[in-house]
Amino acid sequence: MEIFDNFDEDLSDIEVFLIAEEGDRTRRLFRLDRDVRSIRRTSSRMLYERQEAEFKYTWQVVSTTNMPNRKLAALWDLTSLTDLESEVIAALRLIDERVSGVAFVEDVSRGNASNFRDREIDNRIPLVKIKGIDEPLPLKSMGDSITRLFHVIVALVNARNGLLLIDEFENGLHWSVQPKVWNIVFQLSERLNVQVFATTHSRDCIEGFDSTWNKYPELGTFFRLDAKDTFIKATEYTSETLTDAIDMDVEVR
Amino acid sequence: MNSMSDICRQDTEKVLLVEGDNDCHVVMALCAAHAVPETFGIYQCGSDIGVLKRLNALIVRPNPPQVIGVMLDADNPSLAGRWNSIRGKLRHYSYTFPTTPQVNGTVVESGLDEPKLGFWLMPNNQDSGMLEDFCAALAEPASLAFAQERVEQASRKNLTSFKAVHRSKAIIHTYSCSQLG
Repeated sequence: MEIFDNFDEDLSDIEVFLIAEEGDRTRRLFRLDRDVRSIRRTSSRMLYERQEAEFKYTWQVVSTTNMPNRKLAALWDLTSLTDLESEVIAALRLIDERVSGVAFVEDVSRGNASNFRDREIDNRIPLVKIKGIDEPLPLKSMGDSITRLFHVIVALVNARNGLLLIDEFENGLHWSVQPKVWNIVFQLSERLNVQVFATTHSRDCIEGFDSTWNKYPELGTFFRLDAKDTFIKATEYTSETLTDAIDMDVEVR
Repeated sequence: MNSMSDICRQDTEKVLLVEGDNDCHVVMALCAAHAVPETFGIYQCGSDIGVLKRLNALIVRPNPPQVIGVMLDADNPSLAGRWNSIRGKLRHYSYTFPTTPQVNGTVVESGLDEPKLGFWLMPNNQDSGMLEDFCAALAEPASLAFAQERVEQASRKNLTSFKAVHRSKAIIHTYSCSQLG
């Protein structure tokens, strides 16, 4: 048994795992990200390794408040001028069919960044080209729905063959556009092989999901999570049961 | 929403799901006549499909009812067909159903976190039929025979517009009219 009472500062990007050794096989049991002292009594050996080795998948996260501008700009740089750019533009047209293009530019209205480098990194904002309007407009001025959709779709196309996590899917999305957004998420994630996990507390969101899921019954699944004592209980719904609950106004949240 | 419809839309720990307002009021009248204590609420789901859908959704609801009673007509198309539609709707739960409904009503429990369920198929869990056949069995025989005769007579003279499957509805409503005043 080996005990690490103190980690060197340089090891801050290291993760600690509890492992079990059985003969010449080594199994990783779980990550130890709490106080190392609390696991002193275990009889297995601890192991540390580089973080990158743990997670092999491409993944993106869209939080309740969307992605930071810097992240969004970086993902757009990977998207623009590829085939995926047209997917993003097509998605934005669900909300405003006049959208014909997107570009990121430095936000000149925020001229007070402390130095040139910061301005270049943090200060790029998305503009959209609207048919019939000469000057491109800030995406933000087009409303919350289109902004949320842009974040979700840019993250999705950058999670190819991987995972996309969306916290509170419906944030910023008007209820009437939610089925359309689900539809594009179902189609694109299938085409790009992305597994999407979304959370919500919104009945409108679940209703939009349900109507879309019924169109692609093989592609979706729905779980309700309830806190039960110290555990979280997951209850799986079939699409028939979810539809019944929506139709009969029975709570699913 | 007025109080008459509220009383047939009770979302209680013990609840009886019924097809429509008529079913609700028949059950309430029966309970009153037999002094059945008010330990459960009644919820009318608008149709037979509505009963099955609400039943399915209630079983997995957060904080589901403890007991769900279900009262359905044994029609659409028959007793066996109705029983199969119930079993099919609930196939993904852990309940075990007898192959035919039990004569005194069927009660099933799964032992898991699922509510206890009870089923009554109108009129008697054994024959195809509906609420009105059940009521007919309670009616005063001579008056009912009279009502039946009137309906047949009207039918022969092409004065009726009800569908063949609704003959017992027509008879029981004719009977009800003869009991007024």
